[in-house]
Amino acid sequence: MAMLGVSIAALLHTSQSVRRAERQVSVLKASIEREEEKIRMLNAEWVHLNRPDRLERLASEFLDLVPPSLSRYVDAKEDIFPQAQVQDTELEVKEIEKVIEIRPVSAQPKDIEAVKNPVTPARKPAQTMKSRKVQPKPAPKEIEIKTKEKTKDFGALLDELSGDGGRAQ
Amino acid sequence: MRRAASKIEGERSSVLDLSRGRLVLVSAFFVLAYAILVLRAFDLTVIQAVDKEAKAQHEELVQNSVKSGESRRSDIVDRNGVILATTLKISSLFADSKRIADPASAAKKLIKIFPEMSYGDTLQKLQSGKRFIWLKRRITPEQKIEVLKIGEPGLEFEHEYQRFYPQENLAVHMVGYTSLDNQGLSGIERSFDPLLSKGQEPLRLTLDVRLQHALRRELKKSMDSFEAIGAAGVIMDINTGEILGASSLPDFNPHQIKKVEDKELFNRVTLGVYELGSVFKIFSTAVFFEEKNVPVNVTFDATQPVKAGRFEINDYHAENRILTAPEVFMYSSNIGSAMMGQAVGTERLKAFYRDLGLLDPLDFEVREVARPLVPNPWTDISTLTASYGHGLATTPLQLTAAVSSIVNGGYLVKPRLVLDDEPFYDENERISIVSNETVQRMRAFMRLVVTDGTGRNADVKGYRVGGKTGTAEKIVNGRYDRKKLISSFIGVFPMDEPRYAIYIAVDEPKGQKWSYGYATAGWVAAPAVKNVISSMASIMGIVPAKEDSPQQNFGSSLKQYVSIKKKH
Repeated sequence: MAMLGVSIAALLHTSQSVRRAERQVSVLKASIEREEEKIRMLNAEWVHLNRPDRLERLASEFLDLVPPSLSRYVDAKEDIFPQAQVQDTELEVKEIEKVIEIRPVSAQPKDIEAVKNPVTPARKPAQTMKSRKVQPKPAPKEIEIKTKEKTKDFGALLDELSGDGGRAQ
Repeated sequence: MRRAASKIEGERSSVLDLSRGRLVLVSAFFVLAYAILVLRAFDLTVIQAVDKEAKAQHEELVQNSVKSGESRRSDIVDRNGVILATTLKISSLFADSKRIADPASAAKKLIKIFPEMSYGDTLQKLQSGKRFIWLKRRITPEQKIEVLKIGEPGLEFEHEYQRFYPQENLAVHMVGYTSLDNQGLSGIERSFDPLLSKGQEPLRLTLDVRLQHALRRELKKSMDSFEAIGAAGVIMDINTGEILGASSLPDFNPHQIKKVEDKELFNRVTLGVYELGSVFKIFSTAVFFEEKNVPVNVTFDATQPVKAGRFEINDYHAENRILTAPEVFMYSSNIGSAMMGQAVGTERLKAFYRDLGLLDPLDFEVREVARPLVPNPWTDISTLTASYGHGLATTPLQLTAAVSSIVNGGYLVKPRLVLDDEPFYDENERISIVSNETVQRMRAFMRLVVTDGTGRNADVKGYRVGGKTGTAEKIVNGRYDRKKLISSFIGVFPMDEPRYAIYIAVDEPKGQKWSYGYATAGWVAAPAVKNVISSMASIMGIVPAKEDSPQQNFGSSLKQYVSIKKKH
């Protein structure tokens, strides 16, 4: 008799917990679906807000930036530091920077080819530190260095070279 | 007596026993029944109470779910995964008019939420007696809350999937749009409708929204500044045929499809057939050099117009002298090109155009493609005019693909809009169109056009742009109208190792004061191509060549055969 009672109670308990678990599953499914729907909605909104034409309009309205002109791409190795290259053509750009840094740049700027033609301050900070080839060896007309944080030392150097070189002030 | 008494006692006792037994049975039954009731009450109030919230949520889930059987249409994304089309769950409002308690006040409140609905119409719907009548399809979440606040039990919602295009107008002609019932009606939405409606992985296109935007912006700019009626543009990877950008203006917002005019719906890139003019000299010159074993500086007498029957071919940029082949190309001499066509012959020219896919409708992933208008019958005069792109009308996309098939090294490419990650061409399976020697000559010729010829406005320093201008007169009432032009330019870069082709055609540009009244290709389309190329270069991080590098000097050897001087 006691056994029967215990087994009935156990059965009841099991069936109840199964039902509860099933409900929980459906609740979780519902909330997952809701979250997914929200994510979709937000994703769509994010893409909508990042439309290229909108970004372009906002950038021209609120930022002091312009699209980079192609003449602003220069080769750091060949155009900005030709002397360093002559001294050691194998030097990596990083090492060249080091070399230039310890040299009293502002004291004798004429040594550096790039400075013979004054560097026009570029208004648009670039996305990468990579410099690109465009100019012939003698005298690049414009130099642009982008992203302040990444190129802090490099930017500071250019400031010395050209007043405010490369920075949108 | 005693015996009787005892008998009575015995009877009484058995009766008592019997009734006691019954009483026990009945009370046991009631005890059991009450015990069950107590247990059930316990179950409902204690055990199941915990699940109440869960139950409510479960019901909400069932209510919110979209009609069974309808699956979510898959997304369309660009080559970098930026969403071009997606599907969101949207509520629609309907009425069960039998359950509407107060139609008049409900209608009043509804028209406050939806100002575009009229009171009379809404009231009529609410008391129509129908169990299901749409009031408003596709409402915003805020509107839904407002409707719920009315508290009318007969106002109900159905949840539906709705297509949403985050980029709006940007690539609308290529992506297409869907009906209210999510059926693809144009573009990729139409041609891939069965696949998309299965709702699997997002469909990835070859487009790049950044390049698409740059292209559309420049098309719009030249359309506005030359008061043109339309424009079309294509950016194509010439080696794979992938379309990185394709835009047709005027365009439309796929969310407001009811307001769209036919001219906005029209996809000029794939459906517009135009006589595209001198750009065709690329083809006639290529087949000329392919067929005739002649030196590159072969000459043509452009002093006299070419006469064929009552037909006379003159030059637009008249030089009136004997021209070398590079000069014919860079000054875009119709006379010279007609002579080339004549030398090649009708059969060969026609076969060459057919090989390039210029005479048949394009086999393309978007179904809205037009059949080119080919002269029928094709006479010898047709050959002459077809050499400089008249009398034969094709779509801008076809032309871009045909030019790509020549400059990419001389093998046929098919424009493609759906991105295929697998390598899809086998070097051996390529269909060769022209020989490598011809390819190199054509590349040099096209570079010459930009350095010294009619396309000088398209040059971007460091990127070795090559190309060809095309200014064609439109036919109005059966005659060529000198005022109505289609000015186009095909630009290819970098010319020493070409990768991209950019074609821009502007429909009916009007000469402006600042352009000295010119609305020709060199003034209208070439600068637009130039701007697209400079945007592309910085978006894609393409390194420019140095000024005196061999790349930058590509094609300059041809200059010994041309006399570059101011036009007289």
